[in-house]
Amino acid sequence: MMRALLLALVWTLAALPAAADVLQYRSVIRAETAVTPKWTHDGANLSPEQINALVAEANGIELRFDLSRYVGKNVRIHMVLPPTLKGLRGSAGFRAEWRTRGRFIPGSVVPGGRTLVYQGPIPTKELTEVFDFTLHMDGRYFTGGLGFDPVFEIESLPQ
Amino acid sequence: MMPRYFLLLLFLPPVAMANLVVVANAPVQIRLRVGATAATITTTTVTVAGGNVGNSAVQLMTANAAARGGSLCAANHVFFNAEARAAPPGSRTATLTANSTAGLACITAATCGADNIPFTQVGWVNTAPGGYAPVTIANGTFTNGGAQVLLAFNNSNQSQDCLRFRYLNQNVVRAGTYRGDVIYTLSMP
Repeated sequence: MMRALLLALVWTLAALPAAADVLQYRSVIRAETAVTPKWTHDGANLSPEQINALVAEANGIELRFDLSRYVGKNVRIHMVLPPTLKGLRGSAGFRAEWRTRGRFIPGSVVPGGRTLVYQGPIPTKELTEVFDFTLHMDGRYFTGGLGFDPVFEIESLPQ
Repeated sequence: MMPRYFLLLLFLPPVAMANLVVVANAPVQIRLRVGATAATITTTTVTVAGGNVGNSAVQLMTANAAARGGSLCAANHVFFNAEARAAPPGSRTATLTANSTAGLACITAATCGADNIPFTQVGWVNTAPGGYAPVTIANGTFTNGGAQVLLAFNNSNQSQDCLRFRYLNQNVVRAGTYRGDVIYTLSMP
Protein backbone atom coordinates (compact mmCIF):
# COMPACT_ATOMS: atom_id res chain seq x y z
CA MET A 1 0.00 0.00 0.00
CA MET A 2 2.80 2.33 1.03
CA ARG A 3 4.79 1.50 -2.12
CA ALA A 4 1.74 2.18 -4.31
CA LEU A 5 1.28 5.56 -2.63
CA LEU A 6 4.94 6.37 -3.09
CA LEU A 7 4.84 5.40 -6.75
CA ALA A 8 1.75 7.51 -7.26
CA LEU A 9 3.48 10.47 -5.63
CA VAL A 10 6.57 10.01 -7.77
CA TRP A 11 4.43 9.77 -10.91
CA THR A 12 2.52 12.92 -9.91
CA LEU A 13 5.72 14.86 -9.38
CA ALA A 14 7.09 13.67 -12.71
CA ALA A 15 3.94 14.78 -14.47
CA LEU A 16 4.18 18.33 -13.12
CA PRO A 17 5.99 20.82 -15.35
CA ALA A 18 9.28 22.14 -14.13
CA ALA A 19 9.33 25.52 -12.41
CA ALA A 20 9.61 28.50 -14.76
CA ASP A 21 13.01 30.07 -15.36
CA VAL A 22 13.65 33.61 -16.47
CA LEU A 23 14.58 33.51 -20.13
CA GLN A 24 17.48 35.70 -21.24
CA TYR A 25 16.85 37.87 -24.27
CA ARG A 26 18.17 40.99 -25.87
CA SER A 27 16.76 43.60 -28.17
CA VAL A 28 18.53 43.28 -31.51
CA ILE A 29 18.09 46.68 -33.17
CA ARG A 30 18.32 49.00 -30.19
CA ALA A 31 18.57 48.48 -26.48
CA GLU A 32 15.81 50.93 -25.67
CA THR A 33 13.00 52.27 -27.84
CA ALA A 34 11.47 55.65 -26.95
CA VAL A 35 7.91 56.38 -28.02
CA THR A 36 5.53 59.29 -27.53
CA PRO A 37 1.93 58.58 -26.60
CA LYS A 38 -1.09 60.26 -28.11
CA TRP A 39 -4.60 60.71 -26.83
CA THR A 40 -6.71 57.91 -28.18
CA HIS A 41 -10.11 59.54 -28.59
CA ASP A 42 -11.30 62.78 -30.12
CA GLY A 43 -14.72 64.29 -30.27
CA ALA A 44 -17.69 64.91 -28.07
CA ASN A 45 -19.50 62.82 -25.52
CA LEU A 46 -16.50 60.97 -24.18
CA SER A 47 -16.48 58.94 -20.98
CA PRO A 48 -13.81 59.55 -18.30
CA GLU A 49 -11.97 56.47 -19.58
CA GLN A 50 -12.01 57.77 -23.15
CA ILE A 51 -10.89 61.28 -22.19
CA ASN A 52 -7.89 59.86 -20.35
CA ALA A 53 -6.98 57.08 -22.77
CA LEU A 54 -3.47 57.23 -24.21
CA VAL A 55 -1.87 54.94 -26.75
CA ALA A 56 1.70 54.45 -27.95
CA GLU A 57 3.02 52.23 -30.72
CA ALA A 58 6.39 50.49 -30.53
CA ASN A 59 6.68 48.50 -33.72
CA GLY A 60 9.41 46.24 -35.03
CA ILE A 61 10.92 45.35 -31.66
CA GLU A 62 13.18 42.44 -32.53
CA LEU A 63 14.06 40.21 -29.61
CA ARG A 64 16.57 37.37 -29.61
CA PHE A 65 16.07 34.65 -27.01
CA ASP A 66 18.83 32.46 -25.65
CA LEU A 67 17.36 28.95 -25.75
CA SER A 68 20.59 26.99 -25.69
CA ARG A 69 19.48 25.08 -22.57
CA TYR A 70 16.22 24.06 -24.14
CA VAL A 71 17.11 22.76 -27.62
CA GLY A 72 14.99 19.72 -28.42
CA LYS A 73 12.71 20.30 -25.45
CA ASN A 74 9.05 21.08 -25.41
CA VAL A 75 8.57 24.40 -23.65
CA ARG A 76 6.10 27.06 -22.75
CA ILE A 77 7.13 30.73 -22.68
CA HIS A 78 5.14 33.44 -20.92
CA MET A 79 5.47 37.21 -21.01
CA VAL A 80 5.28 38.54 -17.46
CA LEU A 81 4.88 42.08 -16.14
CA PRO A 82 5.65 43.10 -12.56
CA PRO A 83 2.70 44.45 -10.54
CA THR A 84 4.03 48.00 -10.70
CA LEU A 85 5.73 49.83 -13.54
CA LYS A 86 7.89 52.92 -13.39
CA GLY A 87 5.80 55.89 -14.52
CA LEU A 88 2.51 54.41 -13.45
CA ARG A 89 0.59 55.09 -10.26
CA GLY A 90 -0.52 51.71 -8.92
CA SER A 91 -1.08 48.59 -10.93
CA ALA A 92 -4.09 49.80 -12.94
CA GLY A 93 -4.14 51.86 -16.08
CA PHE A 94 -1.83 49.92 -18.38
CA ARG A 95 -2.21 47.18 -20.95
CA ALA A 96 0.31 46.00 -23.51
CA GLU A 97 -0.92 44.32 -26.66
CA TRP A 98 1.32 42.79 -29.27
CA ARG A 99 1.29 41.26 -32.69
CA THR A 100 4.11 39.01 -33.81
CA ARG A 101 5.69 38.28 -37.16
CA GLY A 102 7.03 34.79 -36.46
CA ARG A 103 6.26 31.81 -34.27
CA PHE A 104 5.20 33.62 -31.13
CA ILE A 105 1.55 34.09 -30.19
CA PRO A 106 -0.08 37.56 -30.21
CA GLY A 107 -1.73 38.64 -26.98
CA SER A 108 -1.92 41.18 -24.20
CA VAL A 109 -0.74 41.55 -20.63
CA VAL A 110 -1.43 43.89 -17.70
CA PRO A 111 0.78 44.67 -14.69
CA GLY A 112 1.05 41.57 -12.53
CA GLY A 113 -0.11 39.43 -15.44
CA ARG A 114 1.39 36.46 -17.27
CA THR A 115 0.49 35.59 -20.85
CA LEU A 116 1.53 32.66 -23.01
CA VAL A 117 3.63 33.71 -26.01
CA TYR A 118 5.11 30.40 -27.17
CA GLN A 119 4.41 26.73 -26.76
CA GLY A 120 6.17 23.93 -28.57
CA PRO A 121 9.57 22.41 -29.29
CA ILE A 122 12.77 24.43 -29.43
CA PRO A 123 14.63 23.67 -32.65
CA THR A 124 17.62 25.99 -32.28
CA LYS A 125 19.65 27.56 -29.53
CA GLU A 126 18.48 31.05 -30.48
CA LEU A 127 15.08 32.22 -31.55
CA THR A 128 14.30 35.68 -32.90
CA GLU A 129 10.87 37.24 -32.90
CA VAL A 130 9.63 40.66 -33.97
CA PHE A 131 6.97 42.25 -31.77
CA ASP A 132 4.69 45.14 -32.66
CA PHE A 133 3.59 46.54 -29.33
CA THR A 134 0.57 48.76 -28.72
CA LEU A 135 0.72 50.22 -25.23
CA HIS A 136 -2.51 51.50 -23.71
CA MET A 137 -2.30 53.86 -20.75
CA ASP A 138 -4.89 55.59 -18.63
CA GLY A 139 -3.85 59.20 -18.04
CA ARG A 140 -5.35 59.06 -14.55
CA TYR A 141 -2.55 56.70 -13.50
CA PHE A 142 0.20 57.75 -15.89
CA THR A 143 2.91 59.94 -14.43
CA GLY A 144 5.17 59.95 -17.48
CA GLY A 145 8.38 58.24 -18.46
CA LEU A 146 6.81 54.82 -18.30
CA GLY A 147 9.20 51.91 -18.56
CA PHE A 148 7.92 48.79 -20.30
CA ASP A 149 10.29 45.99 -19.55
CA PRO A 150 8.64 42.58 -19.78
CA VAL A 151 10.15 39.43 -18.36
CA PHE A 152 9.96 36.16 -20.27
CA GLU A 153 9.61 32.98 -18.27
CA ILE A 154 10.23 29.55 -19.74
CA GLU A 155 9.23 26.15 -18.44
CA SER A 156 9.93 22.70 -19.85
CA LEU A 157 6.98 20.48 -20.57
CA PRO A 158 6.90 16.69 -20.42
CA GLN A 159 8.17 15.19 -23.68
CA MET B 1 58.41 39.39 7.13
CA MET B 2 54.83 40.10 7.67
CA PRO B 3 52.69 39.41 4.70
CA ARG B 4 50.93 42.42 3.31
CA TYR B 5 47.45 42.44 2.08
CA PHE B 6 46.02 45.07 -0.11
CA LEU B 7 42.38 45.70 -0.14
CA LEU B 8 41.25 47.31 -3.34
CA LEU B 9 37.78 48.74 -3.45
CA LEU B 10 36.36 49.83 -6.73
CA PHE B 11 33.46 52.19 -6.78
CA LEU B 12 31.90 52.17 -10.16
CA PRO B 13 29.12 54.55 -11.19
CA PRO B 14 25.71 52.93 -11.24
CA VAL B 15 24.73 51.69 -14.65
CA ALA B 16 21.30 52.78 -15.80
CA MET B 17 19.31 49.76 -16.85
CA ALA B 18 17.63 50.24 -20.18
CA ASN B 19 13.97 49.47 -20.56
CA LEU B 20 12.74 47.70 -23.63
CA VAL B 21 10.36 50.59 -24.34
CA VAL B 22 10.13 53.97 -22.65
CA VAL B 23 6.91 55.95 -23.08
CA ALA B 24 7.44 59.71 -22.88
CA ASN B 25 5.16 62.10 -21.01
CA ALA B 26 1.65 62.56 -22.34
CA PRO B 27 1.26 65.57 -24.63
CA VAL B 28 -0.79 68.50 -23.39
CA GLN B 29 -3.92 68.91 -25.48
CA ILE B 30 -6.79 71.38 -25.43
CA ARG B 31 -9.70 71.40 -27.85
CA LEU B 32 -12.55 73.84 -28.15
CA ARG B 33 -15.58 73.69 -30.35
CA VAL B 34 -18.22 76.41 -30.44
CA GLY B 35 -21.17 75.56 -32.63
CA ALA B 36 -20.41 74.39 -36.14
CA THR B 37 -17.18 72.64 -37.14
CA ALA B 38 -14.76 73.32 -40.01
CA ALA B 39 -13.79 76.86 -39.00
CA THR B 40 -17.35 78.11 -39.49
CA ILE B 41 -18.35 81.01 -37.28
CA THR B 42 -21.70 80.19 -35.74
CA THR B 43 -24.22 83.03 -35.83
CA THR B 44 -27.22 83.47 -33.59
CA THR B 45 -29.88 85.98 -34.57
CA VAL B 46 -33.00 87.63 -33.27
CA THR B 47 -35.48 90.07 -34.78
CA VAL B 48 -37.33 92.35 -32.36
CA ALA B 49 -40.64 93.72 -33.55
CA GLY B 50 -40.82 97.50 -33.54
CA GLY B 51 -43.41 97.67 -30.80
CA ASN B 52 -41.36 95.49 -28.47
CA VAL B 53 -38.02 97.25 -28.65
CA GLY B 54 -36.69 98.03 -25.19
CA ASN B 55 -39.65 96.58 -23.26
CA SER B 56 -37.42 94.08 -21.35
CA ALA B 57 -39.30 91.11 -22.78
CA VAL B 58 -36.50 88.57 -23.38
CA GLN B 59 -36.14 87.62 -27.03
CA LEU B 60 -34.83 84.09 -27.69
CA MET B 61 -32.21 83.90 -30.39
CA THR B 62 -32.05 81.27 -33.11
CA ALA B 63 -29.13 79.28 -34.51
CA ASN B 64 -28.87 77.03 -37.52
CA ALA B 65 -28.78 73.24 -37.35
CA ALA B 66 -25.00 73.05 -37.81
CA ALA B 67 -24.53 74.76 -34.43
CA ARG B 68 -26.21 71.95 -32.51
CA GLY B 69 -23.36 69.42 -32.50
CA GLY B 70 -25.35 66.83 -34.37
CA SER B 71 -28.19 65.70 -32.16
CA LEU B 72 -26.51 66.65 -28.89
CA CYS B 73 -28.38 69.93 -28.49
CA ALA B 74 -31.98 70.94 -29.09
CA ALA B 75 -32.92 73.23 -31.95
CA ASN B 76 -31.52 76.79 -31.80
CA HIS B 77 -28.92 75.87 -29.18
CA VAL B 78 -25.19 76.24 -29.68
CA PHE B 79 -23.00 73.27 -28.75
CA PHE B 80 -19.83 73.97 -26.75
CA ASN B 81 -17.19 71.28 -26.24
CA ALA B 82 -14.08 72.11 -24.22
CA GLU B 83 -11.49 69.40 -23.57
CA ALA B 84 -8.24 69.73 -21.65
CA ARG B 85 -5.84 66.83 -21.33
CA ALA B 86 -2.53 66.34 -19.60
CA ALA B 87 -1.00 63.89 -17.20
CA PRO B 88 -1.09 63.47 -14.32
CA PRO B 89 -4.71 64.45 -13.73
CA GLY B 90 -5.41 67.55 -11.70
CA SER B 91 -2.03 69.08 -12.44
CA ARG B 92 -3.31 71.94 -14.60
CA THR B 93 -6.32 74.22 -14.82
CA ALA B 94 -8.09 74.94 -18.08
CA THR B 95 -10.00 78.19 -18.42
CA LEU B 96 -12.61 79.16 -21.00
CA THR B 97 -13.02 82.89 -21.45
CA ALA B 98 -15.17 85.11 -23.63
CA ASN B 99 -14.16 88.46 -25.12
CA SER B 100 -17.27 90.53 -25.79
CA THR B 101 -15.76 94.01 -25.67
CA ALA B 102 -16.68 94.90 -29.25
CA GLY B 103 -20.42 95.03 -28.62
CA LEU B 104 -23.00 94.82 -31.37
CA ALA B 105 -22.28 97.51 -33.96
CA CYS B 106 -24.85 99.00 -36.26
CA ILE B 107 -24.27 97.80 -39.82
CA THR B 108 -27.15 99.76 -41.37
CA ALA B 109 -25.81 103.23 -40.88
CA ALA B 110 -28.74 104.89 -42.62
CA THR B 111 -31.04 103.97 -39.76
CA CYS B 112 -28.86 103.43 -36.70
CA GLY B 113 -25.69 105.34 -37.54
CA ALA B 114 -22.75 104.25 -35.42
CA ASP B 115 -24.82 103.00 -32.52
CA ASN B 116 -23.55 100.06 -30.52
CA ILE B 117 -25.48 97.66 -28.29
CA PRO B 118 -23.28 96.34 -25.48
CA PHE B 119 -23.06 92.59 -25.13
CA THR B 120 -24.43 92.94 -21.62
CA GLN B 121 -27.76 92.74 -23.41
CA VAL B 122 -27.07 89.15 -24.42
CA GLY B 123 -27.24 86.19 -22.06
CA TRP B 124 -27.70 82.44 -22.22
CA VAL B 125 -29.31 79.46 -20.57
CA ASN B 126 -27.43 76.18 -20.61
CA THR B 127 -29.09 72.82 -21.06
CA ALA B 128 -26.12 70.48 -21.02
CA PRO B 129 -26.44 67.33 -23.10
CA GLY B 130 -26.35 63.87 -21.61
CA GLY B 131 -23.15 61.90 -21.29
CA TYR B 132 -20.10 62.70 -19.24
CA ALA B 133 -19.97 66.43 -18.47
CA PRO B 134 -18.77 66.97 -14.91
CA VAL B 135 -18.28 70.70 -15.45
CA THR B 136 -20.69 72.97 -17.28
CA ILE B 137 -21.02 76.63 -18.15
CA ALA B 138 -23.33 78.40 -15.71
CA ASN B 139 -26.23 80.43 -17.00
CA GLY B 140 -25.22 84.03 -17.39
CA THR B 141 -24.83 87.25 -19.33
CA PHE B 142 -21.87 88.72 -21.17
CA THR B 143 -20.01 91.33 -19.16
CA ASN B 144 -18.61 93.28 -22.09
CA GLY B 145 -15.21 92.24 -20.72
CA GLY B 146 -12.09 91.08 -22.47
CA ALA B 147 -11.64 87.83 -20.57
CA GLN B 148 -14.87 86.87 -18.87
CA VAL B 149 -14.33 83.47 -17.28
CA LEU B 150 -17.08 81.07 -18.26
CA LEU B 151 -15.48 77.90 -17.02
CA ALA B 152 -12.43 76.67 -15.12
CA PHE B 153 -11.66 73.01 -14.61
CA ASN B 154 -8.82 70.64 -13.89
CA ASN B 155 -7.31 68.31 -16.48
CA SER B 156 -8.14 65.81 -17.80
CA ASN B 157 -11.72 66.72 -18.29
CA GLN B 158 -14.37 67.78 -20.71
CA SER B 159 -17.21 70.28 -20.61
CA GLN B 160 -20.17 69.92 -22.92
CA ASP B 161 -22.87 72.53 -23.08
CA CYS B 162 -25.89 73.56 -25.12
CA LEU B 163 -26.40 77.30 -24.85
CA ARG B 164 -29.58 79.06 -25.91
CA PHE B 165 -28.72 82.73 -26.33
CA ARG B 166 -31.22 85.47 -25.47
CA TYR B 167 -31.43 89.15 -26.13
CA LEU B 168 -32.43 90.92 -22.91
CA ASN B 169 -34.03 93.83 -24.76
CA GLN B 170 -33.68 96.35 -21.93
CA ASN B 171 -32.68 99.36 -24.02
CA VAL B 172 -34.53 101.38 -26.63
CA VAL B 173 -32.32 101.40 -29.71
CA ARG B 174 -32.77 102.78 -33.15
CA ALA B 175 -34.11 100.51 -35.88
CA GLY B 176 -31.48 98.68 -37.87
CA THR B 177 -29.24 95.63 -37.96
CA TYR B 178 -26.57 95.19 -35.33
CA ARG B 179 -23.78 92.68 -35.42
CA GLY B 180 -21.02 91.69 -33.04
CA ASP B 181 -18.51 88.90 -32.46
CA VAL B 182 -17.67 87.16 -29.22
CA ILE B 183 -14.31 85.40 -29.18
CA TYR B 184 -13.95 82.33 -26.98
CA THR B 185 -10.55 81.17 -25.78
CA LEU B 186 -9.63 77.95 -24.01
CA SER B 187 -6.24 77.97 -22.32
CA MET B 188 -4.32 75.66 -20.01
CA PRO B 189 -1.01 77.12 -18.88
